[in-house]
Amino acid sequence: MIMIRSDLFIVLLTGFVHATLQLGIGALLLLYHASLGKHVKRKTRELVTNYIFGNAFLTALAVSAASFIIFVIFQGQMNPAILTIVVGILVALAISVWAFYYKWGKSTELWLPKSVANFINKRAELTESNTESFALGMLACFAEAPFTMILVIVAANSILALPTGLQILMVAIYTLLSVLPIIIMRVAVRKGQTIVDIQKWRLKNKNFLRVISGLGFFVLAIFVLAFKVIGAV
Amino acid sequence: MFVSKAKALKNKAKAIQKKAQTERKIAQATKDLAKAEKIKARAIRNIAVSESELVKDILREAKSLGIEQDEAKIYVKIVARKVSDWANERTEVTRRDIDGQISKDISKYNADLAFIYKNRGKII
Repeated sequence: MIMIRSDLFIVLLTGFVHATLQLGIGALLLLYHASLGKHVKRKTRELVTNYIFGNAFLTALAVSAASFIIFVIFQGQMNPAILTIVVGILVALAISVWAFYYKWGKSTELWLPKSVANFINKRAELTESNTESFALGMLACFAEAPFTMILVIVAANSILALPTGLQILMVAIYTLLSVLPIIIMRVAVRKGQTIVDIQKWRLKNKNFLRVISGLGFFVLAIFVLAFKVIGAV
Repeated sequence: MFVSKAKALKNKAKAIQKKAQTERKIAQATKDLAKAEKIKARAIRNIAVSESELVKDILREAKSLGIEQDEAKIYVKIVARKVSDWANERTEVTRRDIDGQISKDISKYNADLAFIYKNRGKII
């Protein structure tokens, strides 16, 4: 029972840490900005909904695929030796988030190479159809893979330890948690907030988000170490 | 006799050396000229700031913020003319310079638009 609870908690925590990453929000902000300048509000809403679906689709696919791969390779869950490496990567990512996830200065620019950021920016400006915005959502999710890949692996490993009935539910919950900030953003815009308000909020709370995100990675590393490595030995 | 022959040879060698030097100088000058033309072409491309394009761009940004187009048109034309004049006075300006100048000029009329231009390209 304790193990199931810890696995549930790990999945929820990974979903939360995933949600603190900012590329999805940034790309959606760009899409909102470009679309509101060109289209009527209804069209913008459709594009944004498809963006969210694209992002959620790739996340769910990644978690499911990771679960399948772990199950095939390890015949169940990952062994403590591999998980120790995972813990090391989580700690390294926690430091990376603190140190260079955001670029220094008065902006919300992220660690992405300028060419990738420009590409996403350009795609957001050129997005006209629902398919393109779905693809943009997937692109934003994929571009953050260096940080999210390990979260997906940890979540998949814990999902495999749960009873079969709970596994699909937890994939859905993880996906929902990871896209929750962009859903909240959509609601906020619907309620009358402008992109300027949201960007100002992001600028004001940049350091807070950096700390929360880094701390999340660090706490997750401790949890995996305690329940999956030491607990399994 | 040998002395005069040696002198002639020496003179010939000097002439060849001088010719080679001149050719090197011409090659270098050609290279420099090509480089200068490239820089000039780039500068010309950069200073071609169209006032009507600026008006369209600012109005699009205003629309994305939900600012009334009729209201925006009053000051957008003034800002676009100012920025266009400012850009055309300079030999080379970048997109970021133009955005900065728009932000500066438009801040008197609308703070949100100024914020958008100040943060353009700095969201992700």
